[in-house]
Amino acid sequence: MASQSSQYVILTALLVFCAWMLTASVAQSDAPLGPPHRVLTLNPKIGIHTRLTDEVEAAKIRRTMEMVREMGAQWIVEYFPWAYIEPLPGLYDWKHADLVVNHAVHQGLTLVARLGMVPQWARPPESTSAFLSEEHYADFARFVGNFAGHFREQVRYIIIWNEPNLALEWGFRPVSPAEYTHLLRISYQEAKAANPQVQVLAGALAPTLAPSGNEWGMNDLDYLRGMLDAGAAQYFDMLAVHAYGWSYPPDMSPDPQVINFRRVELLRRVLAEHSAADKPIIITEGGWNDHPRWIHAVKPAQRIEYTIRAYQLAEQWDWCKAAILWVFRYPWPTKSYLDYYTFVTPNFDPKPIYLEVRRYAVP
Amino acid sequence: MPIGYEVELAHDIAAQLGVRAQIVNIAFDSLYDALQADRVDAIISGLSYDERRTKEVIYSQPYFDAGQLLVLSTTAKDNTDEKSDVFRLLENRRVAVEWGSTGDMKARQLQSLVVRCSILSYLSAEEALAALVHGESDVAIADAVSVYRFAAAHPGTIRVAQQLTEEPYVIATSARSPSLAKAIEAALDTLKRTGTLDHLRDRWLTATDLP
Repeated sequence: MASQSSQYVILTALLVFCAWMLTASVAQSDAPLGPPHRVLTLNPKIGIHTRLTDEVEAAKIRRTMEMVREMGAQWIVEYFPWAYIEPLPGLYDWKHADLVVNHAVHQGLTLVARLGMVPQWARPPESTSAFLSEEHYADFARFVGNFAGHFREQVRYIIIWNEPNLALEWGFRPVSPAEYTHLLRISYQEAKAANPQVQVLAGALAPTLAPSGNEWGMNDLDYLRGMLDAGAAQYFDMLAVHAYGWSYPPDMSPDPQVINFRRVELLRRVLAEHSAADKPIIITEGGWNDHPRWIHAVKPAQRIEYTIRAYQLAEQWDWCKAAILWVFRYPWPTKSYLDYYTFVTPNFDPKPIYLEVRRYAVP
Repeated sequence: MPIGYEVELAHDIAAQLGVRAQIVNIAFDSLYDALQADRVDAIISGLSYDERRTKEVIYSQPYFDAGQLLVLSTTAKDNTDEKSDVFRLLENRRVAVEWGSTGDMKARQLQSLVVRCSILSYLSAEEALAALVHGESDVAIADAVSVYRFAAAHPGTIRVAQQLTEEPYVIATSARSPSLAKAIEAALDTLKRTGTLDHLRDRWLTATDLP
């Protein structure tokens, strides 16, 4: 009986393996890489955030990268959830991440990888995927190191976490620049151990005017000061910044009491105040929304003008390596104001903003 | 005190239900959260049907369609009419649009399928429609709200030739309140049948002297 059971196990394993091979080969044949490309652009700092985390079709991943390249964008940010890649401790599934990275690199794009999302095994039941207690910092850092090592030849920039100054992004716990700095430190060390060339970006902060003591978040300028006071400068190479314009034009002067595109200059000023002015900045989200009803939206024509102007400003700022705006496409319509941040529809129909940026950027 | 098309619609529905509506002013991006948290009983605020939310939400029939309309001038000296197909309406025509808008996107898509169709871009839908009336363009494409408002402000100047896209607005109630959803549906039936919805549209989207 034991022998028969073993045969069943082996047979089952073989069937699973064959099914996996078939799936893998279908996924690859759906979207062959084709010849390698390079981006032709008049402004090499143009970038756009892709959103492929939930995009399962290889052909659509490839189409995304092709259209980004054709728009004249050199840079993309993509999110790589820890929970998807390491669903069980030590069990890594790189298939989807490989697909995204391979297509990006093949189209000649420079990829900035945002890392986050805590798997269920690394957090308490009923907690959100942004909840990471200190006892699991080392698990996350190990994942960061493995990511940096796995994509040693392809991914040069990684972002540690997202908007840690919001309670929402910190597992609905009080936010803490010192705790985040701790997480950043061990993540940085693991990343550099795996790949000394990788550039570690401190997680972009949510632009917010939250008053002191607010339960939902901390003012981004104060949070960055807190990080730097806690010694964070030693543990990041660059700063990721979210630069949303809301309803204001991109040239509007920065003001600590206003959220606008040039708030990025205030963050740079904070770096300078802490002897960290040498650290470049990458804008990893930002831009304008043209929903007809949303209170923070602008007119569609303004969105086009502001977006192109923002790319021009980034080109002039020698401390800004790239301006990667939100967002190229959603896999499905959100049926909300968020749809009006996209550059193409879920069916890849280019919106006028896509066509106008392409006209500006492509020689 | 909040006023507007949907505020009045909420009061009319409440009257049908024999209750008094309390209007809660919430940011557009927090509407569904408010419904899930039982801070409100229904959302009437330019919502589109979203099949991904139908586990938590029950949607009503549409009460308004804000889709893109293809518009002609009433003084156009040709034989195009409402029965002409969209390709014929655009052939050899200058099309006015609001630059960057959904109407602009639609026009660019159609342009690739139509012979000698040129696009004229303006900074607002109102300017695009004015260009049509002034003879700068032959056709305009704009959203229904902009078209209705322009028609009211400039009576007798434009006519809708085709509806190009649909963007129906619906009412959302919590899936935990199926009886309320059913009652709202019945109220909408009544408001449609009695012409109240048309009256609301005329009052709020085509009146020239909006309060």
